[in-house]
Amino acid sequence: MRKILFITLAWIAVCITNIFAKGVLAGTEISNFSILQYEIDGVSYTTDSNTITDKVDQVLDVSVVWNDTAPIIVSSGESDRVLTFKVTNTGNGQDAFDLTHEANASSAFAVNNPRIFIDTNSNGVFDISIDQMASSITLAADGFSTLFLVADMPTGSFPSGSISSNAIAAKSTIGGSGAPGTAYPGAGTDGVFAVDGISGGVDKGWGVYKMGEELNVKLIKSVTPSGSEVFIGTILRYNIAVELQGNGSVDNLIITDNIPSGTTYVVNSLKLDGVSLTDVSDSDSGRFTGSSIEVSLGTAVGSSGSPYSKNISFEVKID
Amino acid sequence: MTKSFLSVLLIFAFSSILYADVSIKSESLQEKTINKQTTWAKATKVIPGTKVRYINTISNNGNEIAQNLVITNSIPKHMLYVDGSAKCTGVCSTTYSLDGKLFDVPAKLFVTENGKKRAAKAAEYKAIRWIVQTLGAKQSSSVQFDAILE
Repeated sequence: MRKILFITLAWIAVCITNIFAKGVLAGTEISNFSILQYEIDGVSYTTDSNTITDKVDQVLDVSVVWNDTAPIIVSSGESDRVLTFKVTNTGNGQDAFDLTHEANASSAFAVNNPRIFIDTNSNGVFDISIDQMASSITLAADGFSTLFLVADMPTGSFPSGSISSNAIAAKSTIGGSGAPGTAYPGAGTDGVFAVDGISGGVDKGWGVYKMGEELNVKLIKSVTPSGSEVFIGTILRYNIAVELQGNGSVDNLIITDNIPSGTTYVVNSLKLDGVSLTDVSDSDSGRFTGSSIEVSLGTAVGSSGSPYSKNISFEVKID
Repeated sequence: MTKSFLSVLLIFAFSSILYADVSIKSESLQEKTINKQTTWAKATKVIPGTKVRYINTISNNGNEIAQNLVITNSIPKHMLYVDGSAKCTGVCSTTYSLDGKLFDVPAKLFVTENGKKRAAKAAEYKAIRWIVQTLGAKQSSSVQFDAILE
């Protein structure tokens, strides 16, 4: 009996190939089979081979990259300063990665209280009330996320330009031996083989905090009226502008100024940023000692981002 | 007349079933290094970039010579054919297809890209066809090709 089987192979004319950056997804089935046609005594026959199915195995790979464009300028004593990183699952299957902080022991200074946060709302900005602190992250193949390393700067004095290198390290929880080629039978997606890829299933990105310009307290004193138009009884108004240059903080900053000889302090004229301070020692920040004015400013923090500026004023009468 | 015609057909059919028995068996292999020796063994660990060797073995289990054996193997999705890897143990002619319908030699396979015609790349082949002229009774032969997983 003649038996000719025509098989029509239907191919998609326009083939849109979705090539994953890191290869075909783990667990995907790759099937192969063949068709044999032959003749015996002029009679045609056809038969199929068996179908071979191989499942794609899983490669474990990760990448951690520091994303700030330059070292983050910090000052001593600051808290919650942020280094930004990007973690990517560069393998071909879903994986959960353990996240840890690492410090470079030979850095000029070490940070305190390091914490890792995931950029939960994916806005690229650290929001302490929204972003979740985390010690691991699960990512699909080619998946990525922004991470923040948040740490407190040490107190003390550091030369301007001192740096502290800090890393976020990611490690595959399926493998992550650090040695490429290490195999984990049955540990991958759908029970396929998992194997540590080129990265060994681990990676670290190093970021840098840098101590900025040292702190300088700057006082600028001015008086009105100025010049030669002063007589006995003229009221002179002194203004002292207090500024901080550089980065850092100073505790217990107290500004004092002696009442010039030949003048008498005008009682209750002391002001801080336009607000009156009493002459006596009490709960407000100013007092008149009898020969000088004194204003306690407490802890003053200098940063290039938000410059520190205070104005102290008082009046004297020329004797 | 009809009766004898039917008998002839039946004899034909019967003889076909009895003696026409060429089978084809497929297997997939990959290179493995065992005790510092590299050999081709059954594929078990296939990750992106792995080269897989597909071998089709045809066996003539019957008593009569088989002719014009045509083996058509569509290249699996996600696998990229390795140029020049198609082989056969005996004598064969090999052609390739970009669409699964038309088969030809590499020199005659073209692709249009950005309005220009260029030679098709091996990785673009969608199927391979081997033609083996004869396979004697109780003989076996095999054909193979290599492909890399995307």
